[in-house]
Amino acid sequence: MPETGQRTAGAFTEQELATIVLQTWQRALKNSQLGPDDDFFTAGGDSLLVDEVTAAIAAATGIEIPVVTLFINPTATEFADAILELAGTGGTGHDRT
Amino acid sequence: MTEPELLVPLTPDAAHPVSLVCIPHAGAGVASFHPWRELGGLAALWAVRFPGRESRVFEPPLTSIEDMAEALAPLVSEIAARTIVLFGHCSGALVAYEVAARLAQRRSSAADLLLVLSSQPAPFGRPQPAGRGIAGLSPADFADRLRALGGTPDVVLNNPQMMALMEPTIRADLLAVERYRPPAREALPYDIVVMAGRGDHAVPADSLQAWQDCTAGSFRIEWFDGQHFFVSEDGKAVVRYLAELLRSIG
Repeated sequence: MPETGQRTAGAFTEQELATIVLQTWQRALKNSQLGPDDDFFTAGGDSLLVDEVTAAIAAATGIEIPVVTLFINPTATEFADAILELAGTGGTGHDRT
Repeated sequence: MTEPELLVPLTPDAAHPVSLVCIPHAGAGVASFHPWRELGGLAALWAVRFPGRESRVFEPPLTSIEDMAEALAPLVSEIAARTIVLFGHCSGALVAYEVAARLAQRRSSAADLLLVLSSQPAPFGRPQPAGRGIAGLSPADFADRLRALGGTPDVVLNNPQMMALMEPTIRADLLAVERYRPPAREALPYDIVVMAGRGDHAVPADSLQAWQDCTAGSFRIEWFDGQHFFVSEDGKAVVRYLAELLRSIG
């Protein structure tokens, strides 16, 4: 574990991860204006899109992301933060059903 | 970011003289009304997010149509508009009707109300559920029921994680519909427009016509291409129709 205070997720820095998340959401929601604090669902994100962006970001980062993550972290900022937590603990690597 | 929880504004112009308040189908939230933002110039658009879905997924769902209406009615009566169009799809249509009944009773809203109800039999003389009710369905049978009804993508139905999150709420909403037995009451003083899919086998035409008995005002049925979920299947025609409707009252 790095103790520098700089959090990372797999090969990505916090900043890079935030960008990946926001750009993936913007593409899926077809809205380049979507901001990091906008609510995914209010912006038109339905269950199909939850599945799509979760899978896309998991594939891009190599981190297992349970589907529930987006429901309880419905903004890009919160979602990126949750992924950092997941990466930090490695807690969900094997329990994806 | 903290959002208004129950009644979410989808267009920024909350001061518009006309408001369109959208109550979603069983299990759904505000996302299904996102395409309707293009009506934003014609009305302030609001959508309802009951507990148990979207960002409120871990809040226990309300278990009766009346409870949903009790929660929503005060917020609707606070909307400062000349005319409020209450749209409800599927289970949401019954919630819209119950909200309207509360507003009529309390005279708590100065606004005119227009009810637009889709894909739902009228409250009185409702057909009994065919076979076993919702409560008796195993998860697999329940998934089959949803598949037959349409509206729930296979990606969701086939994803155990997703179903674990969504099924309790969809089931609670459909159970609320099944158990809904409104008291006898006078026809409402509000006009009613019923929207229906020509291919909706879940809702018989005479059960739609029966909504006429719920209004002392005008009544009509508008037919669209598609089945129970014509609102998305025939989405463009639906938005065109709503735009026309909003212009006629704007």
